[in-house]
Amino acid sequence: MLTTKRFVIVYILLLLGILYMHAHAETVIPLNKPFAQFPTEHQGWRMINEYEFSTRVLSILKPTDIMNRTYARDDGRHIDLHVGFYDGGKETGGIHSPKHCLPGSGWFLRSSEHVAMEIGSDTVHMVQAVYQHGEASELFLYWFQVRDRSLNNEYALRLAEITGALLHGRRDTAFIRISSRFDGDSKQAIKRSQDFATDFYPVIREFLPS
Amino acid sequence: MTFSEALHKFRFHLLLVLPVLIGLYYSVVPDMVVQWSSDENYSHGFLVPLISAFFFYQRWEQLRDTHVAPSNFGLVVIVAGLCQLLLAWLGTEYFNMRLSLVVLLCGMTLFWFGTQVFKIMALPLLFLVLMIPIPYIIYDAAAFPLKLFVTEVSVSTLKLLGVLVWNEGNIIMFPNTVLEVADACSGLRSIMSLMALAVAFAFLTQESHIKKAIIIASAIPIAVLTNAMRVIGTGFLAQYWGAQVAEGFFHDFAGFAVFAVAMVLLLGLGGLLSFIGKRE
Repeated sequence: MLTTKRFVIVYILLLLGILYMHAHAETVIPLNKPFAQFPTEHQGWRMINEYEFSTRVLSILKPTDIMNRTYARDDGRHIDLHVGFYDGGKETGGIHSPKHCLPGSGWFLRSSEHVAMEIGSDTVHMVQAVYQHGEASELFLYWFQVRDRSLNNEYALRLAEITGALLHGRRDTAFIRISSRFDGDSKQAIKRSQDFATDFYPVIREFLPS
Repeated sequence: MTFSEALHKFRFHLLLVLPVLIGLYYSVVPDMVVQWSSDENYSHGFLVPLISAFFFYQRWEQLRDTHVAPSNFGLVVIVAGLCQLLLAWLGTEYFNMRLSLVVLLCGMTLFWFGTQVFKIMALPLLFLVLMIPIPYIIYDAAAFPLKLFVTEVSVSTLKLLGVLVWNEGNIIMFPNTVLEVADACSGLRSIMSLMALAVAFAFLTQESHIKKAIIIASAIPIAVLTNAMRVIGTGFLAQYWGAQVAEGFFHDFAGFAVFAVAMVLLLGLGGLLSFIGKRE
């Protein structure tokens, strides 16, 4: 029998839902320091270039703060560093994985593997990938940083966002990409990128909320 | 009690559920509508509720005399939908937040009106799923390889036809112009719209499940084919009339024309399938 009781039960359930959503209003976690203060010189690395994304790209990514820099050491070769931070607020976007965006813009995937690097007391999980664009080859080290965890898988990232919100009331995420062009052998580029990661990982963590 | 009697008797109860649903979804649904208007992959979102309403209208004759027999299983569905909403809301996962609305509507139909009514309402209710943009993590994984495939096929065809062209990923280069740079991060154009329309078309015109499935599945090859035609057409224009004409065609006219061609192909396939049915 359809009775008023059946409607009242549904009203109550839905109202509880509304209450819960209001009680868990979104939490926005700021960066510890804006990327503008990111050191231009560190451990022998010197910033030689800094560039900004176009407004079009920014309107798609909608980061809270973003940074694109090129660093060089005295031995010449360059390293590109990209860090995007998303504070988890409604206005910010989410991380776009290079796995999709690079092939779309003409990069051809040569190889990709999951690696873990020991940096200080942390184990940093990263993707180490080689992409080719025309004649140029580029080595990428990238990972997603969610609080004190480094992730190298898009689905794990999604899961971490949900559990983060559920258990810690936080949805902030960051994307870190270190890249280096090379000709011929990738060994030098791997070494260089890993050196850079080792030197800059603690600095990056200083800026990101943990 | 029949469905129409129940609707009449409980009209105020039913009206009261509206403000409660608005309270639950006021920060979810408007965002989705904004996405329909800003994301060309989902501009069909506006049509979906209308088509759903039409499906409902089509079933009204049958629905109104259906006997109402509430099912307690509906309560399980409602609770599941609410959990889905709250979990997704915590993780800012838009797809599940939005999908939970459809789950709740299904749950309420079951809990209030029962299995018989739900069976008839299933199509109008579940069709609403197609108005929800699928998560980009899945969309990219599926539509991206297709898009690269379209580019490869088109470029090979153009080369065979003697057009000077080469590509890097989905960026296509002619001696005098470069195409597709801008939407490097978006997938195969119009595939989602085509899919939604194929589902509507299949259910409107076909009786048998196999034919429905054929029509729905055909949305993918049709999208691939028409997108390839668009690229090839643009290639020819670029070769013989210059970059300006090609870019104009590519960005303005082609999107619409390609969709029209896709619809014609879909209609043709539907006609063919009906014809095969008759001969048997």
